[in-house]
Amino acid sequence: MSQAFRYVLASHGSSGPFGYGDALADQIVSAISLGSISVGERLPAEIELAGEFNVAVATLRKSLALLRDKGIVETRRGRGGGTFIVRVPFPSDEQISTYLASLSIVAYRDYGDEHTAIATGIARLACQRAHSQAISELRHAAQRLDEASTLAECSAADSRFHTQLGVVSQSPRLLRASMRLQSEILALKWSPAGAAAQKSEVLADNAEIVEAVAAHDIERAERAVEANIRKTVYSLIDVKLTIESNGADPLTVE
Amino acid sequence: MTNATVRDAAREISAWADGLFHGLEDLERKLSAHLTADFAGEPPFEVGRKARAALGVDVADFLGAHSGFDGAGLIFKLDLLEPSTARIEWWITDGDDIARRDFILDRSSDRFYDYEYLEWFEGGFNAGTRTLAGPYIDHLGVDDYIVTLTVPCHVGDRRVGVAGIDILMNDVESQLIRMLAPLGHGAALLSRHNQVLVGNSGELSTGVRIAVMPPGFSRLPLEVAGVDLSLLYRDDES
Repeated sequence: MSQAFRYVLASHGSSGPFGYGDALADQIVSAISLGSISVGERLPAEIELAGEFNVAVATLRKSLALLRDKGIVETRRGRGGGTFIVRVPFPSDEQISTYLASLSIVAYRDYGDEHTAIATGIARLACQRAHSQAISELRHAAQRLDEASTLAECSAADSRFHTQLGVVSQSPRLLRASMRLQSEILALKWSPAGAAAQKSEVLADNAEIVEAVAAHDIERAERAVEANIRKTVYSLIDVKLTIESNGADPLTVE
Repeated sequence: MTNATVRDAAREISAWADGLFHGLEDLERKLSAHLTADFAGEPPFEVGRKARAALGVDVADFLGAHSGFDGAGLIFKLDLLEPSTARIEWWITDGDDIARRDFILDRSSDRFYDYEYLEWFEGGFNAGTRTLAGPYIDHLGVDDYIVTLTVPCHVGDRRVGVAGIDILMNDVESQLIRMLAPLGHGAALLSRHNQVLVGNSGELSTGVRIAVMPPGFSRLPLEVAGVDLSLLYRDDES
Protein backbone atom coordinates (compact mmCIF):
# COMPACT_ATOMS: atom_id res chain seq x y z
CA MET A 1 0.00 0.00 0.00
CA SER A 2 2.71 2.47 0.93
CA GLN A 3 4.47 1.71 -2.35
CA ALA A 4 1.37 2.78 -4.23
CA PHE A 5 1.45 6.13 -2.44
CA ARG A 6 5.07 6.62 -3.44
CA TYR A 7 4.22 5.89 -7.06
CA VAL A 8 1.54 8.52 -7.24
CA LEU A 9 3.63 11.12 -5.44
CA ALA A 10 6.55 10.56 -7.79
CA SER A 11 4.49 11.00 -10.95
CA HIS A 12 2.22 13.83 -9.90
CA GLY A 13 4.28 16.16 -7.82
CA SER A 14 3.19 17.49 -4.50
CA SER A 15 0.27 19.77 -5.31
CA GLY A 16 -3.00 17.94 -5.75
CA PRO A 17 -5.80 19.39 -7.89
CA PHE A 18 -8.57 19.00 -5.33
CA GLY A 19 -8.21 22.33 -3.60
CA TYR A 20 -9.09 21.40 -0.05
CA GLY A 21 -6.74 24.14 1.10
CA ASP A 22 -4.50 21.55 2.66
CA ALA A 23 -1.65 20.24 0.54
CA LEU A 24 -1.37 16.97 2.42
CA ALA A 25 -5.13 16.27 2.20
CA ASP A 26 -4.91 16.99 -1.56
CA GLN A 27 -2.08 14.51 -1.93
CA ILE A 28 -3.96 11.78 -0.12
CA VAL A 29 -7.08 12.43 -2.20
CA SER A 30 -5.02 12.27 -5.41
CA ALA A 31 -3.76 8.88 -4.39
CA ILE A 32 -7.31 7.71 -3.65
CA SER A 33 -8.86 9.14 -6.80
CA LEU A 34 -6.31 7.45 -8.99
CA GLY A 35 -6.91 4.13 -7.39
CA SER A 36 -3.63 3.76 -5.51
CA ILE A 37 -5.76 2.98 -2.52
CA SER A 38 -9.31 1.76 -2.85
CA VAL A 39 -12.66 2.28 -1.25
CA GLY A 40 -13.03 -0.05 1.68
CA GLU A 41 -9.29 -0.23 2.31
CA ARG A 42 -7.72 0.76 5.56
CA LEU A 43 -5.08 3.49 5.53
CA PRO A 44 -1.71 2.59 7.03
CA ALA A 45 -1.21 3.46 10.71
CA GLU A 46 -0.86 7.20 11.33
CA ILE A 47 2.80 6.97 12.26
CA GLU A 48 3.60 5.01 9.11
CA LEU A 49 1.57 7.33 6.91
CA ALA A 50 3.19 10.41 8.45
CA GLY A 51 6.59 8.88 7.63
CA GLU A 52 5.44 8.20 4.07
CA PHE A 53 4.50 11.85 3.51
CA ASN A 54 7.39 13.10 5.60
CA VAL A 55 5.20 15.14 7.95
CA ALA A 56 4.61 15.19 11.70
CA VAL A 57 1.85 12.94 13.04
CA ALA A 58 -0.04 16.02 14.29
CA THR A 59 -0.03 17.49 10.75
CA LEU A 60 -1.32 14.22 9.33
CA ARG A 61 -4.11 14.08 11.92
CA LYS A 62 -5.27 17.55 10.89
CA SER A 63 -5.47 16.50 7.23
CA LEU A 64 -7.26 13.27 8.07
CA ALA A 65 -9.79 15.22 10.14
CA LEU A 66 -10.46 17.38 7.07
CA LEU A 67 -10.98 14.29 4.91
CA ARG A 68 -13.29 12.87 7.56
CA ASP A 69 -15.36 16.05 7.41
CA LYS A 70 -15.55 15.72 3.62
CA GLY A 71 -16.80 12.14 3.96
CA ILE A 72 -13.77 10.67 2.19
CA VAL A 73 -12.42 8.67 5.10
CA GLU A 74 -14.13 7.21 8.13
CA THR A 75 -12.57 6.13 11.41
CA ARG A 76 -14.00 3.04 13.07
CA ARG A 77 -13.23 1.86 16.54
CA GLY A 78 -13.08 -1.63 17.90
CA ARG A 79 -12.57 -4.88 16.05
CA GLY A 80 -11.17 -4.29 12.57
CA GLY A 81 -11.00 -0.60 13.37
CA GLY A 82 -8.82 2.09 11.77
CA THR A 83 -9.21 4.81 9.16
CA PHE A 84 -10.93 3.60 6.00
CA ILE A 85 -11.50 5.09 2.58
CA VAL A 86 -15.25 5.40 2.10
CA ARG A 87 -15.60 7.54 -1.02
CA VAL A 88 -13.55 8.25 -4.12
CA PRO A 89 -13.80 11.90 -5.14
CA PHE A 90 -14.34 12.35 -8.86
CA PRO A 91 -11.17 13.71 -10.51
CA SER A 92 -11.02 16.67 -12.87
CA ASP A 93 -10.55 16.29 -16.65
CA GLU A 94 -7.01 17.68 -16.36
CA GLN A 95 -6.14 15.14 -13.76
CA ILE A 96 -7.52 12.31 -15.89
CA SER A 97 -5.54 13.48 -18.95
CA THR A 98 -2.34 13.75 -16.95
CA TYR A 99 -2.86 10.31 -15.55
CA LEU A 100 -3.74 8.68 -18.89
CA ALA A 101 -0.63 10.18 -20.47
CA SER A 102 1.58 8.99 -17.64
CA LEU A 103 0.77 5.31 -18.07
CA SER A 104 2.09 3.05 -20.82
CA ILE A 105 -0.13 1.03 -23.15
CA VAL A 106 1.34 -2.06 -21.57
CA ALA A 107 0.15 -0.88 -18.15
CA TYR A 108 -3.42 -0.56 -19.47
CA ARG A 109 -3.34 -3.88 -21.25
CA ASP A 110 -2.04 -5.53 -18.08
CA TYR A 111 -4.73 -3.83 -16.01
CA GLY A 112 -7.32 -5.15 -18.47
CA ASP A 113 -5.86 -8.66 -18.22
CA GLU A 114 -6.09 -8.71 -14.44
CA HIS A 115 -9.56 -7.19 -14.33
CA THR A 116 -10.81 -9.61 -16.98
CA ALA A 117 -9.41 -12.60 -15.08
CA ILE A 118 -11.08 -11.52 -11.84
CA ALA A 119 -14.35 -10.34 -13.40
CA THR A 120 -14.89 -13.45 -15.54
CA GLY A 121 -14.14 -15.57 -12.47
CA ILE A 122 -16.78 -13.67 -10.56
CA ALA A 123 -19.25 -13.96 -13.44
CA ARG A 124 -18.70 -17.73 -13.62
CA LEU A 125 -19.30 -18.21 -9.89
CA ALA A 126 -22.27 -15.86 -9.91
CA CYS A 127 -23.89 -17.98 -12.66
CA GLN A 128 -23.29 -21.13 -10.66
CA ARG A 129 -24.32 -19.80 -7.27
CA ALA A 130 -27.06 -17.21 -7.85
CA HIS A 131 -30.48 -18.22 -6.56
CA SER A 132 -33.69 -16.30 -7.24
CA GLN A 133 -33.26 -13.93 -4.27
CA ALA A 134 -29.66 -13.15 -5.26
CA ILE A 135 -30.78 -12.38 -8.82
CA SER A 136 -33.44 -9.99 -7.57
CA GLU A 137 -30.82 -8.26 -5.41
CA LEU A 138 -28.59 -7.94 -8.49
CA ARG A 139 -31.47 -6.39 -10.48
CA HIS A 140 -32.03 -3.95 -7.63
CA ALA A 141 -28.35 -2.93 -7.80
CA ALA A 142 -28.53 -2.50 -11.61
CA GLN A 143 -31.57 -0.25 -11.14
CA ARG A 144 -29.46 2.31 -9.23
CA LEU A 145 -27.66 3.40 -12.39
CA ASP A 146 -30.99 4.18 -14.04
CA GLU A 147 -31.68 6.65 -11.24
CA ALA A 148 -28.20 8.26 -11.26
CA SER A 149 -27.73 11.66 -12.90
CA THR A 150 -24.27 13.15 -12.30
CA LEU A 151 -21.07 11.41 -13.46
CA ALA A 152 -20.05 10.78 -9.87
CA GLU A 153 -23.45 9.17 -9.20
CA CYS A 154 -23.22 7.07 -12.36
CA SER A 155 -19.76 5.90 -11.43
CA ALA A 156 -20.86 5.07 -7.86
CA ALA A 157 -23.95 3.21 -9.11
CA ASP A 158 -21.88 1.28 -11.66
CA SER A 159 -19.51 0.37 -8.83
CA ARG A 160 -22.40 -0.84 -6.65
CA PHE A 161 -23.59 -3.06 -9.47
CA HIS A 162 -20.21 -4.74 -9.96
CA THR A 163 -19.81 -5.03 -6.20
CA GLN A 164 -23.18 -6.78 -6.01
CA LEU A 165 -22.01 -9.18 -8.71
CA GLY A 166 -19.08 -9.97 -6.40
CA VAL A 167 -21.52 -10.49 -3.53
CA VAL A 168 -23.51 -12.93 -5.69
CA SER A 169 -20.30 -14.88 -6.41
CA GLN A 170 -20.15 -15.68 -2.66
CA SER A 171 -16.38 -15.09 -2.61
CA PRO A 172 -15.17 -12.44 -0.15
CA ARG A 173 -11.66 -12.60 -1.65
CA LEU A 174 -12.83 -12.07 -5.23
CA LEU A 175 -15.13 -9.29 -4.06
CA ARG A 176 -12.17 -7.48 -2.46
CA ALA A 177 -10.08 -7.92 -5.61
CA SER A 178 -12.96 -6.65 -7.73
CA MET A 179 -13.45 -3.55 -5.57
CA ARG A 180 -9.76 -2.72 -5.83
CA LEU A 181 -9.84 -3.07 -9.64
CA GLN A 182 -13.06 -1.07 -9.97
CA SER A 183 -11.66 1.83 -8.00
CA GLU A 184 -8.74 1.95 -10.44
CA ILE A 185 -10.97 2.16 -13.50
CA LEU A 186 -14.32 3.75 -12.63
CA ALA A 187 -13.35 7.42 -12.76
CA LEU A 188 -11.39 6.81 -15.98
CA LYS A 189 -14.34 4.93 -17.46
CA TRP A 190 -16.93 7.64 -16.74
CA SER A 191 -14.88 10.82 -17.12
CA PRO A 192 -15.43 12.75 -20.38
CA ALA A 193 -11.62 13.07 -20.54
CA GLY A 194 -11.31 9.30 -20.20
CA ALA A 195 -13.42 6.59 -21.82
CA ALA A 196 -16.51 8.85 -21.55
CA ALA A 197 -18.89 5.99 -20.85
CA GLN A 198 -22.51 6.64 -21.84
CA LYS A 199 -25.13 5.79 -19.25
CA SER A 200 -27.51 4.16 -21.74
CA GLU A 201 -24.74 1.94 -23.05
CA VAL A 202 -23.54 0.90 -19.58
CA LEU A 203 -27.14 0.19 -18.53
CA ALA A 204 -27.45 -2.15 -21.51
CA ASP A 205 -24.08 -3.78 -20.73
CA ASN A 206 -25.06 -4.37 -17.10
CA ALA A 207 -28.51 -5.64 -18.10
CA GLU A 208 -26.84 -8.20 -20.36
CA ILE A 209 -24.76 -9.40 -17.38
CA VAL A 210 -27.87 -9.65 -15.17
CA GLU A 211 -29.75 -11.66 -17.81
CA ALA A 212 -26.80 -14.00 -18.34
CA VAL A 213 -26.52 -14.62 -14.58
CA ALA A 214 -30.30 -15.09 -14.29
CA ALA A 215 -30.09 -17.67 -17.09
CA HIS A 216 -27.09 -19.32 -15.35
CA ASP A 217 -25.34 -18.99 -18.72
CA ILE A 218 -21.63 -18.91 -17.83
CA GLU A 219 -20.28 -18.33 -21.34
CA ARG A 220 -22.66 -15.47 -22.01
CA ALA A 221 -21.85 -13.82 -18.65
CA GLU A 222 -18.09 -14.17 -19.17
CA ARG A 223 -18.40 -12.76 -22.68
CA ALA A 224 -20.40 -9.80 -21.40
CA VAL A 225 -17.99 -8.81 -18.62
CA GLU A 226 -14.97 -9.32 -20.84
CA ALA A 227 -16.42 -7.14 -23.63
CA ASN A 228 -17.30 -4.55 -21.02
CA ILE A 229 -13.75 -4.24 -19.69
CA ARG A 230 -12.16 -4.43 -23.13
CA LYS A 231 -14.31 -1.58 -24.41
CA THR A 232 -13.13 0.71 -21.57
CA VAL A 233 -9.47 -0.27 -21.78
CA TYR A 234 -9.30 0.08 -25.59
CA SER A 235 -10.91 3.46 -25.43
CA LEU A 236 -8.50 4.64 -22.69
CA ILE A 237 -5.54 3.57 -24.82
CA ASP A 238 -6.98 5.53 -27.77
CA VAL A 239 -7.39 8.62 -25.60
CA LYS A 240 -3.87 8.28 -24.30
CA LEU A 241 -2.50 8.04 -27.87
CA THR A 242 -4.54 11.08 -28.91
CA ILE A 243 -3.11 13.12 -26.05
CA GLU A 244 0.39 12.09 -27.10
CA SER A 245 -0.09 12.78 -30.79
CA ASN A 246 -1.37 16.25 -29.84
CA GLY A 247 2.02 16.78 -28.27
CA ALA A 248 0.76 17.58 -24.81
CA ASP A 249 3.39 17.24 -22.17
CA PRO A 250 1.71 15.36 -19.37
CA LEU A 251 3.88 16.99 -16.74
CA THR A 252 2.72 20.51 -17.59
CA VAL A 253 -1.00 19.85 -17.95
CA GLU A 254 -1.56 20.49 -14.27
CA MET B 1 -25.89 -45.33 6.15
CA THR B 2 -28.75 -46.30 8.39
CA ASN B 3 -31.99 -44.38 8.54
CA ALA B 4 -31.42 -43.96 12.27
CA THR B 5 -28.11 -42.13 11.67
CA VAL B 6 -29.79 -39.73 9.25
CA ARG B 7 -32.72 -39.19 11.60
CA ASP B 8 -30.40 -38.49 14.55
CA ALA B 9 -28.33 -35.99 12.59
CA ALA B 10 -31.49 -34.32 11.26
CA ARG B 11 -32.88 -34.10 14.78
CA GLU B 12 -29.68 -32.56 16.16
CA ILE B 13 -29.42 -29.96 13.39
CA SER B 14 -33.13 -29.12 13.65
CA ALA B 15 -32.74 -28.64 17.40
CA TRP B 16 -29.72 -26.38 16.76
CA ALA B 17 -31.68 -24.16 14.33
CA ASP B 18 -34.82 -24.20 16.47
CA GLY B 19 -32.74 -23.25 19.53
CA LEU B 20 -31.27 -20.27 17.70
CA PHE B 21 -34.75 -19.02 16.76
CA HIS B 22 -36.14 -19.59 20.26
CA GLY B 23 -33.28 -17.54 21.69
CA LEU B 24 -33.94 -14.83 19.11
CA GLU B 25 -37.69 -14.80 19.83
CA ASP B 26 -36.95 -14.37 23.54
CA LEU B 27 -34.63 -11.50 22.70
CA GLU B 28 -37.30 -9.88 20.49
CA ARG B 29 -39.84 -9.96 23.36
CA LYS B 30 -37.37 -8.37 25.77
CA LEU B 31 -36.23 -5.68 23.33
CA SER B 32 -39.63 -4.71 21.96
CA ALA B 33 -40.88 -4.18 25.53
CA HIS B 34 -38.43 -1.28 25.86
CA LEU B 35 -40.00 0.49 22.86
CA THR B 36 -43.61 0.70 24.05
CA ALA B 37 -43.36 4.36 25.12
CA ASP B 38 -41.27 5.63 22.19
CA PHE B 39 -43.36 3.80 19.58
CA ALA B 40 -46.78 4.85 20.89
CA GLY B 41 -49.03 6.88 18.58
CA GLU B 42 -48.19 7.39 14.93
CA PRO B 43 -44.83 7.33 13.10
CA PRO B 44 -42.24 8.69 12.66
CA PHE B 45 -40.75 7.16 15.79
CA GLU B 46 -37.51 7.81 17.56
CA VAL B 47 -35.68 5.47 19.91
CA GLY B 48 -34.98 7.60 22.97
CA ARG B 49 -31.85 7.57 25.05
CA LYS B 50 -33.38 5.57 27.87
CA ALA B 51 -34.78 2.88 25.56
CA ARG B 52 -31.49 2.65 23.68
CA ALA B 53 -29.55 2.12 26.89
CA ALA B 54 -31.98 -0.63 27.94
CA LEU B 55 -31.70 -2.30 24.51
CA GLY B 56 -27.92 -2.19 24.81
CA VAL B 57 -27.94 -3.88 28.20
CA ASP B 58 -30.23 -6.69 27.02
CA VAL B 59 -28.32 -7.28 23.78
CA ALA B 60 -25.02 -7.32 25.70
CA ASP B 61 -26.48 -9.90 28.12
CA PHE B 62 -27.72 -11.95 25.19
CA LEU B 63 -24.40 -11.87 23.30
CA GLY B 64 -22.56 -12.62 26.55
CA ALA B 65 -24.76 -15.63 27.27
CA HIS B 66 -24.62 -17.08 23.72
CA SER B 67 -21.05 -17.36 22.51
CA GLY B 68 -20.50 -17.66 18.78
CA PHE B 69 -22.79 -14.85 17.64
CA ASP B 70 -21.20 -11.98 15.76
CA GLY B 71 -23.95 -9.47 16.48
CA ALA B 72 -27.58 -8.96 17.44
CA GLY B 73 -30.21 -6.25 17.66
CA LEU B 74 -33.21 -4.63 16.05
CA ILE B 75 -33.59 -3.30 12.53
CA PHE B 76 -36.60 -1.15 11.75
CA LYS B 77 -38.66 -0.47 8.65
CA LEU B 78 -36.88 2.70 7.67
CA ASP B 79 -39.87 4.90 6.91
CA LEU B 80 -41.29 4.34 10.41
CA LEU B 81 -38.32 6.21 11.85
CA GLU B 82 -37.68 9.93 12.13
CA PRO B 83 -35.15 10.36 9.26
CA SER B 84 -32.75 12.64 11.13
CA THR B 85 -32.22 10.16 13.96
CA ALA B 86 -32.84 6.84 12.17
CA ARG B 87 -30.45 4.14 13.32
CA ILE B 88 -30.14 0.41 13.42
CA GLU B 89 -29.97 -0.78 17.02
CA TRP B 90 -27.15 -3.24 16.44
CA TRP B 91 -24.32 -4.46 18.64
CA ILE B 92 -21.38 -6.65 17.70
CA THR B 93 -19.00 -8.75 19.75
CA ASP B 94 -15.50 -7.32 19.88
CA GLY B 95 -13.25 -9.75 21.71
CA ASP B 96 -14.66 -9.86 25.22
CA ASP B 97 -16.50 -6.59 24.70
CA ILE B 98 -19.74 -5.61 23.01
CA ALA B 99 -19.72 -2.55 20.74
CA ARG B 100 -22.45 -0.59 18.99
CA ARG B 101 -22.22 -0.69 15.24
CA ASP B 102 -23.38 2.19 13.08
CA PHE B 103 -24.56 1.84 9.49
CA ILE B 104 -25.06 4.47 6.83
CA LEU B 105 -28.83 4.97 6.46
CA ASP B 106 -28.67 8.14 4.36
CA ARG B 107 -30.35 7.12 1.10
CA SER B 108 -28.34 9.65 -0.90
CA SER B 109 -24.99 8.24 0.24
CA ASP B 110 -22.94 6.03 -2.09
CA ARG B 111 -22.54 3.77 0.88
CA PHE B 112 -26.19 3.65 1.97
CA TYR B 113 -26.84 0.28 3.64
CA ASP B 114 -29.83 -0.54 1.45
CA TYR B 115 -31.15 -3.44 3.52
CA GLU B 116 -34.90 -3.48 2.99
CA TYR B 117 -34.67 -5.63 -0.12
CA LEU B 118 -32.24 -8.11 1.42
CA GLU B 119 -33.52 -11.58 2.21
CA TRP B 120 -33.31 -11.27 5.99
CA PHE B 121 -35.49 -8.14 5.97
CA GLU B 122 -37.84 -9.33 3.23
CA GLY B 123 -38.48 -12.53 5.13
CA GLY B 124 -38.54 -11.26 8.71
CA PHE B 125 -40.52 -8.10 7.97
CA ASN B 126 -42.47 -8.40 4.70
CA ALA B 127 -43.30 -12.09 4.96
CA GLY B 128 -43.30 -11.86 8.76
CA THR B 129 -41.72 -15.27 9.29
CA ARG B 130 -38.67 -16.79 10.90
CA THR B 131 -35.97 -16.26 8.26
CA LEU B 132 -32.54 -17.76 7.86
CA ALA B 133 -30.70 -15.79 5.18
CA GLY B 134 -27.35 -16.66 3.75
CA PRO B 135 -24.62 -17.52 3.44
CA TYR B 136 -24.02 -14.01 2.08
CA ILE B 137 -21.43 -11.25 2.10
CA ASP B 138 -22.98 -8.41 4.07
CA HIS B 139 -21.53 -5.58 1.96
CA LEU B 140 -21.90 -2.18 3.70
CA GLY B 141 -23.38 -3.99 6.68
CA VAL B 142 -20.91 -5.83 8.85
CA ASP B 143 -18.82 -6.61 5.71
CA ASP B 144 -18.36 -10.24 6.65
CA TYR B 145 -19.44 -13.60 5.26
CA ILE B 146 -22.35 -14.52 7.48
CA VAL B 147 -25.80 -15.98 8.01
CA THR B 148 -28.47 -13.75 9.49
CA LEU B 149 -31.49 -15.05 11.38
CA THR B 150 -34.48 -12.75 11.77
CA VAL B 151 -37.94 -12.80 13.30
CA PRO B 152 -40.58 -10.05 13.06
CA CYS B 153 -40.44 -7.39 15.76
CA HIS B 154 -43.77 -6.06 17.04
CA VAL B 155 -44.45 -3.20 19.39
CA GLY B 156 -48.07 -3.58 20.49
CA ASP B 157 -49.96 -4.60 17.35
CA ARG B 158 -47.62 -2.85 14.96
CA ARG B 159 -44.85 -4.69 13.11
CA VAL B 160 -41.93 -2.27 13.25
CA GLY B 161 -39.01 -4.28 11.91
CA VAL B 162 -37.06 -7.39 12.72
CA ALA B 163 -34.91 -8.73 15.53
CA GLY B 164 -31.84 -10.49 14.22
CA ILE B 165 -28.62 -12.28 14.96
CA ASP B 166 -25.56 -12.66 12.74
CA ILE B 167 -23.24 -15.64 12.86
CA LEU B 168 -19.95 -15.63 10.94
CA MET B 169 -19.75 -18.48 8.42
CA ASN B 170 -16.52 -19.67 10.07
CA ASP B 171 -18.49 -20.22 13.28
CA VAL B 172 -21.51 -21.79 11.57
CA GLU B 173 -19.07 -24.16 9.91
CA SER B 174 -17.34 -25.24 13.11
CA GLN B 175 -20.69 -25.95 14.79
CA LEU B 176 -22.30 -27.80 11.90
CA ILE B 177 -19.35 -29.81 10.69
CA ARG B 178 -19.49 -31.78 13.94
CA MET B 179 -23.22 -32.48 13.51
CA LEU B 180 -22.73 -33.59 9.89
CA ALA B 181 -19.83 -35.92 10.77
CA PRO B 182 -21.98 -39.01 11.56
CA LEU B 183 -23.34 -38.84 7.98
CA GLY B 184 -19.89 -39.38 6.51
CA HIS B 185 -18.19 -37.52 3.65
CA GLY B 186 -20.59 -35.71 1.30
CA ALA B 187 -23.29 -34.39 3.62
CA ALA B 188 -24.56 -30.80 3.71
CA LEU B 189 -27.13 -28.52 5.26
CA LEU B 190 -29.02 -26.70 2.49
CA SER B 191 -30.86 -23.38 2.64
CA ARG B 192 -34.31 -22.86 1.14
CA HIS B 193 -32.54 -21.98 -2.11
CA ASN B 194 -30.78 -25.37 -2.06
CA GLN B 195 -27.56 -23.52 -1.37
CA VAL B 196 -24.98 -25.17 0.87
CA LEU B 197 -24.71 -23.54 4.30
CA VAL B 198 -22.10 -26.01 5.45
CA GLY B 199 -21.07 -29.28 3.84
CA ASN B 200 -18.32 -31.73 4.57
CA SER B 201 -16.79 -32.24 1.14
CA GLY B 202 -15.14 -29.98 -1.42
CA GLU B 203 -18.02 -30.28 -3.90
CA LEU B 204 -20.47 -29.36 -1.16
CA SER B 205 -18.66 -26.36 0.28
CA THR B 206 -20.38 -23.23 1.55
CA GLY B 207 -22.18 -21.16 -1.11
CA VAL B 208 -22.48 -23.93 -3.72
CA ARG B 209 -25.98 -24.07 -5.22
CA ILE B 210 -27.36 -27.54 -5.83
CA ALA B 211 -29.34 -26.96 -9.02
CA VAL B 212 -29.94 -30.64 -9.73
CA MET B 213 -29.95 -33.36 -7.10
CA PRO B 214 -26.73 -35.31 -7.69
CA PRO B 215 -27.17 -39.06 -8.25
CA GLY B 216 -26.54 -41.20 -5.17
CA PHE B 217 -27.74 -38.46 -2.80
CA SER B 218 -30.97 -38.01 -0.85
CA ARG B 219 -32.52 -34.91 0.65
CA LEU B 220 -34.43 -34.78 3.92
CA PRO B 221 -36.40 -31.64 4.87
CA LEU B 222 -35.74 -30.59 8.46
CA GLU B 223 -38.59 -30.04 10.88
CA VAL B 224 -37.93 -26.51 12.05
CA ALA B 225 -41.09 -24.42 12.39
CA GLY B 226 -41.23 -21.68 9.77
CA VAL B 227 -37.80 -22.38 8.24
CA ASP B 228 -37.11 -24.30 5.05
CA LEU B 229 -33.86 -26.20 5.60
CA SER B 230 -32.87 -29.63 4.37
CA LEU B 231 -30.17 -32.18 4.82
CA LEU B 232 -28.33 -33.60 1.82
CA TYR B 233 -26.55 -36.91 2.33
CA ARG B 234 -25.05 -39.80 0.43
CA ASP B 235 -27.42 -42.66 -0.09
CA ASP B 236 -25.20 -45.08 -1.99
CA GLU B 237 -26.81 -48.26 -0.73
CA SER B 238 -30.16 -47.61 -2.42
